[in-house]
Amino acid sequence: MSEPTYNMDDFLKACTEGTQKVFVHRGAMETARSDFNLNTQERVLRFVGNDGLEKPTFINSKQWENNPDSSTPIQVDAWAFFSGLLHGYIAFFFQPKTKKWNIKSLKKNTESDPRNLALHGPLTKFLAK
Amino acid sequence: MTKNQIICPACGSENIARSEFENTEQLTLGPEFAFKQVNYKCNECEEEGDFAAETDKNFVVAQKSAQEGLVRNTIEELCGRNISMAFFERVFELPARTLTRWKTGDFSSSAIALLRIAKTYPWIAEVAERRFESNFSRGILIREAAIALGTVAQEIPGANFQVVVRADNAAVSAVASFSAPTQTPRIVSDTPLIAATG
Repeated sequence: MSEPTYNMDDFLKACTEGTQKVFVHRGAMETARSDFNLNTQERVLRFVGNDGLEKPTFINSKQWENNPDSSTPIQVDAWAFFSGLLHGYIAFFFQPKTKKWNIKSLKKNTESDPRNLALHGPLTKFLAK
Repeated sequence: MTKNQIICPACGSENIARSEFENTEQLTLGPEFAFKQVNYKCNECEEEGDFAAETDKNFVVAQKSAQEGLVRNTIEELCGRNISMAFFERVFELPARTLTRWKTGDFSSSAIALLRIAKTYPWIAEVAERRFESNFSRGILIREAAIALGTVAQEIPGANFQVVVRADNAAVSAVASFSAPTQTPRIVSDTPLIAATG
């Protein structure tokens, strides 16, 4: 497994400083709305910057594929986290040219939830009958 | 910051295109509202988003207007359920005329959270009236569970539902049984799923 490129604390601190320091990409904003009910960039950043990412677990660090400047490779770090019962996924990178953090993805994690919630699914379905 | 100073936060390019469109959002337990969404697309890296966070302001203004409607309607709905504003303020230990302030638009996110809870579970006012005493709270919860189970059971053909309420209303037991579709996950138990006395 690769190591994180960025210090998570630097990213979280930037989030507390708002949209001057961090930008949330359109796709991330759409899933932040649909999956986490976070409707504005400010709400996303307040959530992330105020310990919203519970039990963060590093997944991987990959090159930003859309980077138009091949002379300066940029890595995107991906992390899994929890928020209550939700299992989430966040990916972000830092652009030194603009000195801005970019949240590239913020959505439900499609990987299986490692917690033992064996009864939760069936019980929820039963109660929804 | 003027519009011609906006750059792509992902790559730093000034080669960006701006567009606007109307989007809608459903307020939780409230009305749908519309707001103007601003989107920028970078022609260099093709990343998209609201580079200047203009949508946030539009969203917040539109959301506030929808919230005002939610607050007014919820307070009126509670009054219709015999939960008057004065009663609500007394049992939740709020200053007098708090709900009047809320109705006129002077409310917080916490106020909306409390109103949503009261709208979903109006019996929480009864619990608050008893100062959240634990035995009473459990009794109310079981009573409401019995009512909910009764509703569910009526909607399912062949369901069998029994509820026993003591004369003084202090104790309730409820049992619901029905055949679950074979394809759905089943919880197999030889005791009722919910059976309690309080």
